[in-house]
Amino acid sequence: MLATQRESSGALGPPQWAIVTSDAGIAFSHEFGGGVGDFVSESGGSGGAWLDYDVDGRLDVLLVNGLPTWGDYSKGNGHTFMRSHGDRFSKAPETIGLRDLVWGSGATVGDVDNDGFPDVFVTALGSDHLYRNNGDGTFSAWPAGVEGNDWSTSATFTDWDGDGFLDLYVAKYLEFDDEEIPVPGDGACFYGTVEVFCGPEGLVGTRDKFYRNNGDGTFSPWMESEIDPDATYGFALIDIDCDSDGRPEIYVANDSNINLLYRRTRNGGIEDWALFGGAGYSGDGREQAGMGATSADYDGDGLFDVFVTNFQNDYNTLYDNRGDCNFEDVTARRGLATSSFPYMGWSAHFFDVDGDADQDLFVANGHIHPQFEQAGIEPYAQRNLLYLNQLREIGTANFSEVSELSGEGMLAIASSRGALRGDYDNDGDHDLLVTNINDKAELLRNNGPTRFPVLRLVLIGRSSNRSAYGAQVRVESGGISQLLELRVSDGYVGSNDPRMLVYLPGGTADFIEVHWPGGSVTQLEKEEPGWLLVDEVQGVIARRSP
Amino acid sequence: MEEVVQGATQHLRRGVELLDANQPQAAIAELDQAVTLEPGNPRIRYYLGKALYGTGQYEKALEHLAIGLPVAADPSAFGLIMGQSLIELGRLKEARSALDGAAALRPNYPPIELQLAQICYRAGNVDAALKKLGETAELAPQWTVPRLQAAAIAAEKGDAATAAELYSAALDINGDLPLIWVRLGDNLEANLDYEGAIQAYRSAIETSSGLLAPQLALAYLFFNRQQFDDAATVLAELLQRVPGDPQILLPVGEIQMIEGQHEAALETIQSALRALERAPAATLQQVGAQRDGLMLRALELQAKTLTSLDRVTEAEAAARTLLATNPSNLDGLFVLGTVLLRSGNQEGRDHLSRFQRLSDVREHRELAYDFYRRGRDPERAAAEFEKALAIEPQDAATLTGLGTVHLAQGNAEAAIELLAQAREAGAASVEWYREWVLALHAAERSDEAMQIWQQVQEAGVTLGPRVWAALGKHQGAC
Repeated sequence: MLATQRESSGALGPPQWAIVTSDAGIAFSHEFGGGVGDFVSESGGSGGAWLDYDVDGRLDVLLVNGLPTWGDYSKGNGHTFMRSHGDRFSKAPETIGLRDLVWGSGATVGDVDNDGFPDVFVTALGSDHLYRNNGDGTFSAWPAGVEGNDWSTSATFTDWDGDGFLDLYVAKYLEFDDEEIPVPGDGACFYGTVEVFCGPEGLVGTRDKFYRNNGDGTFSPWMESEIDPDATYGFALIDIDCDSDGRPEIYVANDSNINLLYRRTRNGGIEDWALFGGAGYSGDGREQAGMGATSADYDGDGLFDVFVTNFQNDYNTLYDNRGDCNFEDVTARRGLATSSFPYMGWSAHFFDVDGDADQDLFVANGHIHPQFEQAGIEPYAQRNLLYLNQLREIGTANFSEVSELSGEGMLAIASSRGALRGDYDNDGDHDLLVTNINDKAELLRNNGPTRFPVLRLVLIGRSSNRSAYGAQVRVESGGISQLLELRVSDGYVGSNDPRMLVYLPGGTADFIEVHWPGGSVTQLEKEEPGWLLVDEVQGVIARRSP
Repeated sequence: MEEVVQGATQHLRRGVELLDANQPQAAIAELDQAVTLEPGNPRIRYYLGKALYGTGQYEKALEHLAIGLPVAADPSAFGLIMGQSLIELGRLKEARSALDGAAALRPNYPPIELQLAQICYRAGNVDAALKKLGETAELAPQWTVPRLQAAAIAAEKGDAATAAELYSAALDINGDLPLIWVRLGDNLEANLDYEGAIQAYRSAIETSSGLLAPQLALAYLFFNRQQFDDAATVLAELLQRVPGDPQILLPVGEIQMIEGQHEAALETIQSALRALERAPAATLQQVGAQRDGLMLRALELQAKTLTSLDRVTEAEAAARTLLATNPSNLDGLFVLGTVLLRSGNQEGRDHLSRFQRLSDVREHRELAYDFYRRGRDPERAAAEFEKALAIEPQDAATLTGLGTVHLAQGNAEAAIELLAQAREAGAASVEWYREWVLALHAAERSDEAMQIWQQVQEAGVTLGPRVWAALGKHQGAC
């Protein structure tokens, strides 16, 4: 797990992003009906997953695909799995076992059977698929009871009941029947005066599904009466410990409906707290489009906050956690409102872009109605947004939009949907693989500079789930305390790098505390920058210098 | 005798001068004296009739015109004003007769053709009115009025594209009409031609010499397009001209909120509130009483800003003020629920739960209207209204909407039942009265329909061409 230590910098401007798709050998073109825009099913695009499928310390990637023509399952390239070879990728052969022809939405990754090899769950409009990682370089279809046959979007593995096995929550969108729904030209559905596809409003939603991992290779539907009784249009989700009890809750961003926030009740049940917790609507009581979601402690107060992307002519919303899963919309106050109005937001990620020990923000953008561009009203392809957090510079967690100062990678214009966050080249900073609807995916490399040296943490659960999802890590360095939570499913229909990158203002990590999902705590002191492989039982089992 | 005629002539001349100077009331004073001196002079009767028409005294105008008509040198002129007066009195068949007579003497005379178009509109035959206005415009290529009237009718029909074309055509004839530039801009904006709308508003500003409306329209366009910097620039210029105007202060406050300047936003909004409290009370419509929109908006913004500033006690008070006037005010419920919970008061849950229900109702209702009006899909519209009623069975607006859809589908009895329920639930909007009259007429209860229509007319409210056409009061006039 060698990596090149990036030189610390005195923050000479924002890091520069390059488009390295071709250089890295990423070859994927998304097929999703050709961009005609007749149906709402053609709007969501697809995502994918970073995963180290062969546990060689380097990220491989699954890119989920749709079909060239809606409804025709006989043709198409299928999903693409690319294996890493250093900083380059090559397409895996079909024998890897992941190339199903479906109208794919996205993927999430987790070690479902705790065998040390990450498994993959692919969502779709149609049948979802769980694939077991066989540990020999191949995957097998795993009919574990989670297949469904409706419209799934984002999903997350999370150990809800704390039994050490990852359960599965799947966000679902709506009941789709192309023979029942009018198309543009039928005079049925408009956005303004432009005729567009119908939906989601007016169409019947599909209830999200929660599956319990039985620990024996099967899953069972769970809490069916409590989960999503109003059948909202689920798009994105995050597992987030918003009440600081050491166990993650589940936040679901819904399209044109109130969002959901599932937390445990005192008697072991589950309740939706979004309405009363201030995270269901915007701060002025509006339902928003809710397309992507991410979480981090952006203001350093020890509480995990939530950011949700929304529609054009609306703002993306930053919900500040005030404690105990009570949130407040602070978007305008944090400088995030006005810049987002001209764009339609999808995947979003909090991560430390410039290595100054605070959480910055990236948003992938793209319109859903090609008719708007045809009518000369709003562009279909849009640029993405990059914000730097000013917490370390001015002491207040306001955001400054720096996309146009951040190199060609942040100026790319496409109708983007997913963005997968991961340090693909192991150089100590997160890169982004952006998926674009009916277009090629683009790999954006963070070329730095980053301010402080970095510590990479890889966690291995033992009594906790093997993936250690839900673990919380507090790192103190140079008088600054940072709190991170291990989750991979934030963004939109994607699964991200599970390795945690923490930048060290003091040059070393004075103190590290890992709160494992199973309840145990690992404490470390005076760790140098580089890599740490931490086992829940054994502690640090490997260290590598940068 | 000669002195009498000379005196009458002088009064007549002065009366005509005053009429030309757009002072009909003063003209009447002169012309009254003239007609007393020379009652048989048809010219005096004509100008007096014209002046009386100009001051809305239509019956008196007709009296004088009727006396002068038999001896008039130009009966068509008399016929035109008689026709106009009769239109205003709602006597469309007689108006048609008078104007036909005038047209026979002076065929293809645009002012007469224009009034014939007006009759068609008042009879509810909007398409015929538009056709007639088109013909009139061709007869008078340099006359803006037929194009402007046609544009107004198109806009009323919701056809913003046609309205914009017609306003544009009128402005090609005479570009010095700032308020017409504003209407062009409004219709271009409705048609999503934002660049065109901006240019139109800018032309309005250039030609307006001091009118507020064009700049305000431009500011609101920028604001609605989230071009907040541009909006702020225009609003700042406006505030220099008219400091303290709440129409300007409120969008300034909203922009400040969006930019995170909540303290400044609160100050701005409260300035607007003080200005509104000092202003004379808004006139209520006699049918469907409505609150002053600006005051309501200001109160809602104040409540939201106080919440953002975490001034929970004041926010609670502001929310309660909103709810005191309307217990279903959504902003009031949301703010009150939020701040109560922030203070640890679990009553907040009740308010938020109610907010959620009413918000869902509103969403279903808006979607229903979208399906009905733009999508022309009454079945899906009805389904959405039913979903809203499943949440709030006594929602007046939803009951009215569903009644409207049933009526459109030919189910008058169901419409009447729903509209009656709406009335019991407090419906009193113009829309409700319109649908109620139409439903009664469709259910062959035309006498009742006519009675309601008369009451509404007397209250000074018009129910529009659909009702006029349905009641058939002017059948044959067009």
